[in-house]
Amino acid sequence: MKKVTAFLKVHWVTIVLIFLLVSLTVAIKYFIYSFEQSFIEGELHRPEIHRTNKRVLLTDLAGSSQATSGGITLTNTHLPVSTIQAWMTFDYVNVVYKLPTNYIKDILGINDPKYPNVRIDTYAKESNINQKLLLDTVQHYVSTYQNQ
Amino acid sequence: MDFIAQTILPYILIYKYWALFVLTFLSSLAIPIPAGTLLIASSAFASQGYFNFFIILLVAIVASIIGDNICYWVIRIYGRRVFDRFAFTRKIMNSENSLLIQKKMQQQPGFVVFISRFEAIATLSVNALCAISEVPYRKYLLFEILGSVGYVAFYGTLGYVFGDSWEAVNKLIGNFSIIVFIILIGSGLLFWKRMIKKLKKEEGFFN
Repeated sequence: MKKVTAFLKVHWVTIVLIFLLVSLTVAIKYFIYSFEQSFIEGELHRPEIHRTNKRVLLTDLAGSSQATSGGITLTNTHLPVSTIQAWMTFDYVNVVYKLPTNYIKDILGINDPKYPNVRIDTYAKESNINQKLLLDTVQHYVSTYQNQ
Repeated sequence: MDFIAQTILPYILIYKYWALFVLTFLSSLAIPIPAGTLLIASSAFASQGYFNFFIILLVAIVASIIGDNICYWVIRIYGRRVFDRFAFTRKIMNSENSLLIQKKMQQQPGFVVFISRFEAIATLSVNALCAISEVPYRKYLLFEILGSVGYVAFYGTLGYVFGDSWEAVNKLIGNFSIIVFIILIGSGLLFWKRMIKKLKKEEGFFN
C-alpha cells in the first residue's frame, strides 16, 4: 500500500495526463460514432459537391431550395412537407418550397396585413383556428403544389 | 432545442439580418443566447435560399466584434472600481496568482483570446480577464477579430453545408463542445499549481 501511494505521489501527473488523453479520445470517438449514427438514421444528410461549368453545386440529398448565394448554386430536390413547423413564417415556407408569394394566402383566404411575415402558429391563434389543423392544411397544400 | 426554435428563430425569420445582428450582439454581452445555434440555423436557412450566406457571416462577425469590444471597454473602464468595492473580489484581484496571470495575459493574450471565441462562457471570461489585465487594445482587437471570424466561419459553414440537417449537427456540436470544455477546465484545475509555478519562474526571468 505504501509503495502504491509513493508511486502515485511521484507519477500523478503522468497518470492524470493519460486519463485526460483517454477521455479526449473517448470523446472524439463518441462524436464520430454519433455522427455516423446520425447519417444512418437519416437525421444527417451527406452533401454532394458537383462541378458544372466551373460552378460548384452543393446538393443536400434530402433536398434544399434552389438559391444563388454568393456565386454558389444549390440544386433543388423537394424538402418533405413534414419539416414545416408551426413556428415558421409563411414567407419562409414560400421561399424554401418555392411557392408563389400569394399561393397559401389565396388558398387559405388569409387577410392578415402582416402576411407573409407572420408565424403559422401566431396566425392560427389570432384567427382562432386550431394550430395543428392549420399546419396540416398548409402542409397539404404545399404538397399539392409540389406534385403539380 | 424546441425552446430556441419556437421563441428565437421566428425573430430571425421575420426580422432577418437585423435580428441576427441584435441576437449575436447581445450574446457577446453575456446574455445567455445561443449564438452558435442561431448561426448554424441562419446559415442553414441561407442554404435553403432564405438568406445570403455571406451577408449572414458579415452580420454575425460585425455584431460579435462590436459586442466583444463593448464588453472589453466597459470592464476596462469600470471593472477595477467594481471589484475594488468588495473585499472578496479585491482580495482575489490583488492576489499573487491573479497578478501573475494578468501579467501573462498582457504579454501573450493571442491564443487564449482566439480560442475563447468558440465558447460563450469562455468569451465572456476572457474578455473580462483581458480588460482587467489591461491587455493592449490593439493586441486584443487583432486576436478578437481573428477569433470572431474563425468562430463565425466554422459554425456558419457547418449550417450551410448540412442545410436542413442543421438541428442534428447543432446537437452533435453542442454535446462535443461540452465534453471538450469539461476536459479543458479539468486540465486547467488539475495543473493549476504547475501553471502558477511556471509563471513565477518566468516572472523571475523577466525581472
